[in-house]
Amino acid sequence: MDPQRLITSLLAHTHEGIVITDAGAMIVEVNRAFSELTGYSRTEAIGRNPRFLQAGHHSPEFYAHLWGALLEQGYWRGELLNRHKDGRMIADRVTISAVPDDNGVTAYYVGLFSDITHSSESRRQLQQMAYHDALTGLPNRLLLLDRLQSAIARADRENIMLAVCYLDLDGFKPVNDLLGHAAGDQLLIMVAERLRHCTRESDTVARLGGDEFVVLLSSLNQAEECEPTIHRLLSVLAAPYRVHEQSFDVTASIGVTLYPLDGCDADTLVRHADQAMYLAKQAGRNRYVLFDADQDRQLRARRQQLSRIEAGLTAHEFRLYFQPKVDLYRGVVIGAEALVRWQHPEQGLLPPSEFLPLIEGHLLMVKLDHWVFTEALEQMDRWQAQGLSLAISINVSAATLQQANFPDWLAEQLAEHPHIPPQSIELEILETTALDDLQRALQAIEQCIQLGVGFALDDFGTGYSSLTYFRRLPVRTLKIDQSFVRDMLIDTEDMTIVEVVVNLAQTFQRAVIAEGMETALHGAALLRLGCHCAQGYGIARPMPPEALPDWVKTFTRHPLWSAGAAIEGLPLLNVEAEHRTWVRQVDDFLHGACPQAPFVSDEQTCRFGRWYIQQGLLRYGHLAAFQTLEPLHHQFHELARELMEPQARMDVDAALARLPELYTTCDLLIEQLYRLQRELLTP
Amino acid sequence: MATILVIEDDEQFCQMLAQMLRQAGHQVETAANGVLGLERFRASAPELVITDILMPEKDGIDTILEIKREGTDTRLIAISGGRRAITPQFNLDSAALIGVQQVLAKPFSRQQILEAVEAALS
Repeated sequence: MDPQRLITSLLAHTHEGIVITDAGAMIVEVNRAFSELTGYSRTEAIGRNPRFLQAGHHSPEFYAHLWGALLEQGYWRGELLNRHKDGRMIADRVTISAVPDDNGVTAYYVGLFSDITHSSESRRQLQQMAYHDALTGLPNRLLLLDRLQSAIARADRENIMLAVCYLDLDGFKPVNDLLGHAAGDQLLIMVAERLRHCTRESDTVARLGGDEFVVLLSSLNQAEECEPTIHRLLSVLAAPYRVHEQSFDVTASIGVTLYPLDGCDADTLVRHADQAMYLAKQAGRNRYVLFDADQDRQLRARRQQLSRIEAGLTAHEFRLYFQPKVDLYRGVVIGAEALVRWQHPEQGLLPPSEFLPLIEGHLLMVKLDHWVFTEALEQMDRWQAQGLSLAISINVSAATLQQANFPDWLAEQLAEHPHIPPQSIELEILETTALDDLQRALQAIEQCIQLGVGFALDDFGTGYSSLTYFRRLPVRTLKIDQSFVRDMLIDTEDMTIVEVVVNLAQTFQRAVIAEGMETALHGAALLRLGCHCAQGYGIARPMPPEALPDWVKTFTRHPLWSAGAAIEGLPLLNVEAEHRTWVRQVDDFLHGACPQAPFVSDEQTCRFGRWYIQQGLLRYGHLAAFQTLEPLHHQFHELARELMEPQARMDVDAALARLPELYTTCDLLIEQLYRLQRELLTP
Repeated sequence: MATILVIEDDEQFCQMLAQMLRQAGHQVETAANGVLGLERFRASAPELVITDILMPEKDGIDTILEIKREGTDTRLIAISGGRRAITPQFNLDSAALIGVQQVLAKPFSRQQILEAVEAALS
């Protein structure tokens, strides 16, 4: 037989694995037995350094010794623990020989492998390795999970509890960085020792890798029983460590979960303890945090809801509805607000309250805002094609406004819809959004205004904005929060708030619109407070976009609203409320119910007085009803003054006797005002 | 003597008013808000409706407008009380504006309401 073929055949048929490398330890040939032994095919092995087989069990010193022997004696013989391609450990008896060329220089190395995995000694060794951490000798994750499973079964059987404590060292990295890995390893061994000493035989201490350990406390009768042990762990681990003649302070952060309160499987229990450990780190380290199963369930539920919303967005399940905004005074539609709805396939049409709170502050909110904006623009295009041009207001969340590129994004969107005048778009932001980060909000708002769009402060009155802040915000509209408007007819304080906001808007020259105008009567009251624009069920509910053109066509002004327009510039309701309040206060004072004399403005400076001598005379001076107002008003203030004079107070009885006169004068004045209004209304 | 429907959300006041009217010989039905009031109105077509203005569900203004839309020659009286953010005057003025025959501020005497009823029906 040809010697060459003989060798080839030998290579192929021998049961020992053979690997041949070049002088640089690069594999140039392996045989079939090698592939069977390691799981790596010839092509996978050739060209690589055999170290890819290492299982990480032997120390660097071990390999240094191997190479020393090879270089000096030309061969090495011993046992190697390698890793099969499928991950399991294999024990090999190995002989490596250096093969010199003609000049005596090493040209190849030849390694012969035989599998001894199943011999008893190596099996014991492998088992120890498979289930224990090489550095500390503690159980590893595999054994921990195994023991945890048994402990769970036992807890179920015997009705007891167990605690899984996940430990991560605080301040371990500096030791490693300053003194090297050997010192770090030494410290980890010391930690393992301390952990072993302060737990019971029945507990398990495991190392998961790095500076992470798990202590499993089994057989607890009550949840509280684990506390002393955990406190002991914390204090024992916090005692200083001496490594390389230096003292180090290392502490531990511990996350704890209790079975069966947290009724999960072994893997999940460890993960939950890990999550709690993370919270302990965040809370300031050297402490423990108990995993909160309820909170976790909520968190998971929220994540699920978020992904459902995101899927809904992708699947085009969201819709825009539009609610008309009306100028009650002129009786015209001035625009509409775009409002998002979710056409949920199972739950039907969902209002924003069902999903917006879930995504507040989340990136998904930005995504939804963007969708709303682009959809609104497209709808405006569609309406324009039908001959309907409407101003549209669109809600923008804080998260979106605070995105650095929002103004640029807005500019791009506007550029894609050249037929829509930017002036017809109003962005509604919450009062709180603007105040959270005023400087940043201001910048974004100003950039958007440059593009031509306007801003409205939504839910105004709920955000506690100071006047200084408010003055600096370049918003053109205030939207009075619907909670105040809804109850203004029955709640005096709400009425006052509406009035104050209207006055504020007038003072700072902003437009004002009331939300939540539920009935026509609300509209009439709003008009008399000087608020001309409104939106709410009393006008129209939010409607799908296809319904809006017809609605606009058929909209007519309610007969009540014309009443509000009667006396221009005079909030009749306020005048009435102001004078009636004074009467009540004088009454209280004279009856001793109020020790302090009330302040009653004089006829020149009270609200009605100012209106009378300015706009009133100018516009209505020619009317008979108007002319009777002045003497009545003068009489009212004169009388109030007299009743409050010091000498009148000496003679309370005389003052009390004249009190009905004040009531009557007030009634007459108000009646006359209403008469003026009626006179103006009748054509 | 007439058939009268009283629409009023203050139950005690409503019963008192109904009592007064019955004692004067009228035939009286009651309803606690505008929605229920309209139901009663359509069922029994009274000659006169006396309605409060501020009520939950459907207020007096909407109720009056819907009754007028029915096209019957039903007579209407609006009543309204104080102790609210707005005075009866505002409510009653609003009611007068949409065409009720009589308005009456609460509280009123037996004589005042009976006179108003008589005036509204004549």
